[in-house]
Amino acid sequence: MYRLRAPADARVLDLVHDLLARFWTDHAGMPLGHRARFDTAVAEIAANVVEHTRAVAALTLEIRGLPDRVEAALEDDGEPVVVDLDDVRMPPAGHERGRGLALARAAVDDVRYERRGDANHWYLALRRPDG
Amino acid sequence: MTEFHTETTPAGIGIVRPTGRLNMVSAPRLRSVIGHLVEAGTVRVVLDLSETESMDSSGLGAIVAGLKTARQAGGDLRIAAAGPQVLAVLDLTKLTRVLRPRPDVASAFDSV
Repeated sequence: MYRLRAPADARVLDLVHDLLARFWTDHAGMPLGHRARFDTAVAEIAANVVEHTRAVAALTLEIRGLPDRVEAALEDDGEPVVVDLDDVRMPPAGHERGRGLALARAAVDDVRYERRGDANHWYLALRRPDG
Repeated sequence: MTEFHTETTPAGIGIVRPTGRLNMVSAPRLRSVIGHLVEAGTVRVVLDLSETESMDSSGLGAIVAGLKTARQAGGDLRIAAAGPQVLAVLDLTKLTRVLRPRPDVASAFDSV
């Protein structure tokens, strides 16, 4: 099981990278470019939760490998997030902020957000090249 | 904790080498390090990413800010020796053509 649950502050970002590294150690076979894109998207969503989600205390991350794809699920107990992922655009080159969600969407095949009960749920998936 | 090593070459080029991750924790320090170099008159800056484990959008924002700071002072900022994850972020954010990553520090200011 590749799972972590930790306080949703900046220190969790190192734990996210550590969990991803452990996951890839046990799931060789994904091209390095795909790993980089998946890691990038997961780290962006985690950072987005830490930086922008209001009243969040804890963050949970689960990663799993399936025959045709890798998936990450992030859950937090913060206030609902107001976002339309279909409306997210990459900012122009000179902008210093606002790329996080656009980068996550560009990096993997699927990014979804859902409010269920009292929790925010983020789902990410990246297909294997032969999947 | 990401660390920043800074040096200035005899040619007056500032080299900043972050060791660790460029993210929301370290990005403000990167902005500050580049800002101080430029304020002190070192307006040509190379960001040596050979020891950078990963970069997220906050780290990228700090690089964009550093680029603007250096250019406003009449200089420039170049990035060198980036690994695959950083190059992927540049590609996905369509900033490869703006930041034009160089293979190594030595050649970063060879051609404009």
